[in-house]
Amino acid sequence: MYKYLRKYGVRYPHASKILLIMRLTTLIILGAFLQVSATTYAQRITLNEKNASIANILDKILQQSGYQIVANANTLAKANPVDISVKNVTIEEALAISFKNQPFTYEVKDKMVIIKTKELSLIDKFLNRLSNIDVTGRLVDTEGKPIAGATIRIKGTKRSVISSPTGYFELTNVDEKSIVAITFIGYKSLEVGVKPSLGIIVLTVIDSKLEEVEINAGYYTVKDKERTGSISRITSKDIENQPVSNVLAAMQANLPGVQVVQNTGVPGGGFTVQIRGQNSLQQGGDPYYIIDGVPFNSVSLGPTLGGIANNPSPLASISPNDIESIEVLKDADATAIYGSRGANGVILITTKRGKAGKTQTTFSFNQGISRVGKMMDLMNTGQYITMRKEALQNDNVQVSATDYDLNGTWDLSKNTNWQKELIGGIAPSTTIQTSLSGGANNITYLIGGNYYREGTVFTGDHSYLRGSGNFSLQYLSDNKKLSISFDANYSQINSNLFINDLTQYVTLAPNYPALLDKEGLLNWQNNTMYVNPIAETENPYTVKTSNLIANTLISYTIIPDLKIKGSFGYNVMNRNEISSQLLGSYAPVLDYGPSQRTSNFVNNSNSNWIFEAQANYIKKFNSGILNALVGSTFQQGLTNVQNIMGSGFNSDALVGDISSASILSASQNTYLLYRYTAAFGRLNYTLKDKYILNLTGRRDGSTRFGTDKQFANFGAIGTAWLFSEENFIKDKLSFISLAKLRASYGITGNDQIPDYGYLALWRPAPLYQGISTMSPTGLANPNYAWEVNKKTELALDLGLFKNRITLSIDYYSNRSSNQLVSKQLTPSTGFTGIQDNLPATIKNTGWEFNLNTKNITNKAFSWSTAFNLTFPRNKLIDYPGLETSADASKYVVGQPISIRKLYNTSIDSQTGLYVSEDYDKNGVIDFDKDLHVIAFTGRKYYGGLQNVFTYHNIGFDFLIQFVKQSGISAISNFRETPGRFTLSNPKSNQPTFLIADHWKSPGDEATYQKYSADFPAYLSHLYANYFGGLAIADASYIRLKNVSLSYNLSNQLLQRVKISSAKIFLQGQNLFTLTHYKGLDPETQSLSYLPSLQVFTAGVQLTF
Amino acid sequence: MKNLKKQLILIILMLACGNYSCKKFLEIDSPKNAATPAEIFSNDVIATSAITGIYSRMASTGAFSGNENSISALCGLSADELQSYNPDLDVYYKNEIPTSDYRLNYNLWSETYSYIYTSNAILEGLKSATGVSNSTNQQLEGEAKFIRAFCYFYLVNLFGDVPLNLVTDYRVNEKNAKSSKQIIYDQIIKDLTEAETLLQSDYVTIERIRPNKWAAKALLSRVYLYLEKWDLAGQKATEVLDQNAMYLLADNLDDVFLKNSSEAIWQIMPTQGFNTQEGILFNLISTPSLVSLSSDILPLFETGDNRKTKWINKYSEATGEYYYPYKYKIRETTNNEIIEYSMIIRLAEIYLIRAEARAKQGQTTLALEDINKIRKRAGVLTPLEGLDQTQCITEVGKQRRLELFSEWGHRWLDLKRTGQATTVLAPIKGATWQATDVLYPIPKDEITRNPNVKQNPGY
Repeated sequence: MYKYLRKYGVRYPHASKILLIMRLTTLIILGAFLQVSATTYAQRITLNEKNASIANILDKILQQSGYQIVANANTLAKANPVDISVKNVTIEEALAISFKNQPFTYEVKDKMVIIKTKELSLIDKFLNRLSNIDVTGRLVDTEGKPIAGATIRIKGTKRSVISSPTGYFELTNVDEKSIVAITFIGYKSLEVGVKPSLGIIVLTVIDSKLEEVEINAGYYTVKDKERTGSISRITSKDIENQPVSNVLAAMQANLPGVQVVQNTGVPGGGFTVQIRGQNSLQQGGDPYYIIDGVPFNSVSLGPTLGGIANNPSPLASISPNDIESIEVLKDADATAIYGSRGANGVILITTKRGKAGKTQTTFSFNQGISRVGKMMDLMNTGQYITMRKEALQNDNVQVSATDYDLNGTWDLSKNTNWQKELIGGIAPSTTIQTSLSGGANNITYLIGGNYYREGTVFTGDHSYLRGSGNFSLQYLSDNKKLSISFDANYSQINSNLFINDLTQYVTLAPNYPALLDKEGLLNWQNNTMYVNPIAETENPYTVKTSNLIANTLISYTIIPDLKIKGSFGYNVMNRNEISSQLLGSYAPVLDYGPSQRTSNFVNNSNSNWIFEAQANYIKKFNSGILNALVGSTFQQGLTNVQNIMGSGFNSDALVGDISSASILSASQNTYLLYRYTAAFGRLNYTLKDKYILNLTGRRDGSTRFGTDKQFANFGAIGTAWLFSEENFIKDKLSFISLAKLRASYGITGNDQIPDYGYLALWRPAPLYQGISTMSPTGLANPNYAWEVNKKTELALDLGLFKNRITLSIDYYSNRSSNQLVSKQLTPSTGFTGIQDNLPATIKNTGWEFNLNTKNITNKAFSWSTAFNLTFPRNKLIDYPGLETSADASKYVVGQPISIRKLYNTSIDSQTGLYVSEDYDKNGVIDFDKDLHVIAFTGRKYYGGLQNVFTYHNIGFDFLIQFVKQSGISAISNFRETPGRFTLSNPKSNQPTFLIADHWKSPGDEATYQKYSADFPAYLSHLYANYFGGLAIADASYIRLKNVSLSYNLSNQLLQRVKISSAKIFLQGQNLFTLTHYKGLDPETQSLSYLPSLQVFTAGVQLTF
Repeated sequence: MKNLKKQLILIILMLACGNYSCKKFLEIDSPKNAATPAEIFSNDVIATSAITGIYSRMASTGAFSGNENSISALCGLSADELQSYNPDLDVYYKNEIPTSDYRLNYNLWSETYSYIYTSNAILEGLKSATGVSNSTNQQLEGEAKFIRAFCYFYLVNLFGDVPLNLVTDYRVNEKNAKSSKQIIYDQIIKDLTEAETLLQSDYVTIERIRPNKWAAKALLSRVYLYLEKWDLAGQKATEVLDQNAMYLLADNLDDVFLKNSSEAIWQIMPTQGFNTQEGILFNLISTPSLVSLSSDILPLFETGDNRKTKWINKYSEATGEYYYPYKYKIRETTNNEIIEYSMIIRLAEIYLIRAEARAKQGQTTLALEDINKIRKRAGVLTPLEGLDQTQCITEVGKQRRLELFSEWGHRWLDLKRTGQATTVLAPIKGATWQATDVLYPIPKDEITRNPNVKQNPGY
């Protein structure tokens, strides 16, 4: 035993010694105890046993003699049964008989019997040696990278070794007829007959994700094959191919049922994530995020200055490089254990951990550039001036003194492409990542660091910088009973972007004067300019965000089947913002004074802690396995925001210094304490490996509800039938390697409502007589209760031809009712609304398809394809009192909740203006009955198609995203009426598609109204574009989301420089978009926010 | 090691079974920047801050502030006092208020009801208050009842029949139908009569910016006047007027609207670091953009009436001359100096209430005594004598117009209660005037959200 351990035992000698000593100690202690009670016995032995175990015999000898016995449990396990019949003999005699036929020997020393492995005689050794051989080999993966930590076991024995960090293993003295089994998690197991040199053995990744992959379900893990719930997953492999700074971006197009929309291309910008549709009329639709067991505040950090990042995503604090896997829990079976927070799905993020083996260092570096992939077609100066003149003619007015764009004040021949000028830059990005990991059997660790810097496509020197560090430590006791793990992740983001996105200025008149003069100073063109976008970028806006997530988990196996766990997690995010308005940023023509020099100082902190304890129990029965879990949670969240505004600074240089303000006022201070507690449980029974029943439940209490409504119960039932295990499949349809039917039903809740809504709170009102006053701020409703979401799911998982083809089809139907809304009240109650439950019901149904195929797999070349497709449907089933509520203009029963109710607009072919239909014929166009055209907005279907190719050391893959949807039309993003120009809002340029398709003269049939700057035209433009037929347009697109090309350098070359693997890669994101959408980007559908950018990166990854 | 393990197990088990303390765990304090009703009524100081919260909000902006959204401005426009220069205000001037007006008319309604809610909340809170001293409890109860009566007085006069909400429970209030004017007035009288005894004679602070016993009596005399209970009106007025140690007509017209003037019965202190909203609204420094004073009032002043010169001013420019009320002199606050407070109830009105009450009861000599006090103070030294009852009543009406113009809608309310609205306003407003315009429309939200509340006639 020691021999083979010692062979690679450089890592193990201490470990194995500790192992031995501990076991001995246990026995010694045991012996000592027994000795105390044995001292009164005589030292003569009487025994009469037949076919008894040696342990039993030794026990009796020990009892009668008072001797201590020291033995290694493993040694004793090899013992042969003993027949003994002695009376009043010495201990030596008794031992001699007992040990006659044993494969071990013993020694008696100082009242201690020490049992030792029998020394082989020289001849025995020699003979053994003849038929035995030493075996060596080396394990690599398909990319030629060494596999460390795999187990190589001689079949039929307990002998095994573990491969070294370079993949080598050696087994000495092996029977030449034996077979070794090589196993490593995530790879196909392999059995080979031994020979002295096995050479290089290639282990391949398990084809199907369905076999041994363990899926993290939050409080428990489940083998993919045996899971009853709907859980989608991406791993570091999917993430690292994508050059993204926020992991949410890597989730796009990869996960069925998960809709991820990027709100802006600005670094650190926001995302909207929705799992299986919108369940709530008014309340949050965000999934529940958990990072390494710690709940993570998913929504933006309270009321911040916001600005350019459009609801900054807190997840931007986590470097995608640190993430090992993301599991998305979707159906009731998977989410019910999260009870009240599971209604919108749960996203579990697991960070990377160390693996046992020699210290491994990885280093990767990549350098990228980003840019706006596609610009719009906007008018040039010629076209623009033609439009303006046509408008003046239509309005029957002359060029006025303030029409600087027409009257010659500004150069009529100047033509600037403001898109190129303002958002046409190239943003460089750099990512450096390094990690150190390793450990012995008991302790593994990982220490990592990340640096990320991204510039902007905007003009000027602005950047977004993220530094992060992560640390992970796992300890497992020798007896594998106690395990402790600690994970921590800290990041800091510093950014000096500006507060307003310059994208909104791309529609400046094309002959608008240059923004900087020849000296590079702000140009105000002899005080004819009121607006200068560059001036805004010079207003300092600094944001510092720090985030710490730490989690400690302790688990202990009390008895073999029962394990208890306790975990404590902490997350704190602090965000400090200073946003200033320099006097120099205002147009001099406005003639502002120092009081307009203002700064906002915002301090925003959000901290959460969570304590969870749970017990898991596993019991194997003849026909099945019972898996039970109970646990409890205590959680607290605290949000504290302080916003102080200073004004009246004496100089632009002082605006960052709060003490230099002459007036300070506090506003928007927020203090929100949230506590939450729960008890949860799970019962899972697998019968004959075929029938699986999974029951989960949770009782939740939350401070967001009044005393009587704080607690509620949630639960689900999930079942699966692995009918591929049935004989009729096994015998007749053997090409089916996996067939599983899953079904689940359950109830989850939503508590994403404001804190303290049940309390009648009084808050400070302005001082009276210099003394602070209090005023009631809202009505209390202690009676509202949790929103209830009932989820049903039916799914089929298929694997064909040894899982070369796998297909999952999921159908879901979720009904959410008891909607938490701000119910409208008559103003005579003193307030206009109150938090309450509305018996409205929303139904989300949908189909999700996920197909994976291994098209070609051979040694040199492989090609696999992954395809996913989702058809979401959403419907408002019921809304009592909708007609009389203010929502009447928003929703229609029987229609999706994402609809827009619009006027029926058309062009009056005589006046050339849009007209809205007076549908109820009451003489006015109002917001009641006249909004009668129902326009759907949102996704009809979406999905992704990924192809992965490998050829020797070359990997190539690409991902195509497709979305069928309608959204905010391009034209409605143009706020100004075509033909109108104002100095205070000179964003008067228009898209070229108007040129051919606008009304010119009476009788014209056109899509767009006449060019006109007068008020009626402005009004009809407003109605048609925001509330009428032009508001919504098709925004479907097909996008080449990601392309990645990589090359693994050959090993011999690298080994000379002590590098175990090296990979160079080229990656591209958002490379190409096919769409009919006329605006900048069908994803953001905005002219105010930067579109999602095109990214190209090149990099190298080294492992030492 | 063994011990450590045992301890760990113990800790984990203990916490796991810790569900017993769940309820306790969920008992959290109210947020640090807010207070619960129980905390509000836990001591004198914070309980008082609840009532001063009402005054502070009244002073800020809106219906009670004296700015362009206020009762003073809007009722002045609806009557024949003010001219409008703003589309939002035009609808008041033309008496064409849309039911869907989400700003001005809506605010008049909702803001007034929000003060009623707060008063109700204070009254409910005081009932179960533990840490509030008896004297403060009594004073605050009196103030809350006074405020509630004051608010209902304006509701009933602007909107006619309105829902009478006397509790905070929205489940009751949201279904409440309108109560008749009679019932509302009964409640007003009940509240004021109780306030009268609850409130102290002296102001609780030196300044006259929280109502005392006399403010309650003054308002009560006004209410009786409106209800044409002449003897009671006169009686209550006399009780106030007899307090000549506390209240005296200011000799100088320029002193009337100063803070804590001898004439002030109840004022509101501006809170924004400026002087009064009336001062900012009315005093013209450029072409009017909101309101100006209708010049119709000018010929009504007798020779020597200093109110014409001291309380009215003129802004002249090329486009014309614009008159404006000049009762409040301060538009721009300099050196953070606040010298004027917003006047709500003042002594001159009480004299005129008694004069009217006396005249209605045929006590013309006594009525003239009161009228002449007001005229004399205005600088008209020749007393009126020998008027008959009708002449006397007319004279009181005229004096009310001249004395109280641009203050708290007195003119609009007087025209309505004396039944002269159509006679006086139809010729001025023209075709836009309807007899039903005497009531403002009930905001749309009130009607659509509570089917028990019906719209006023004419809307």
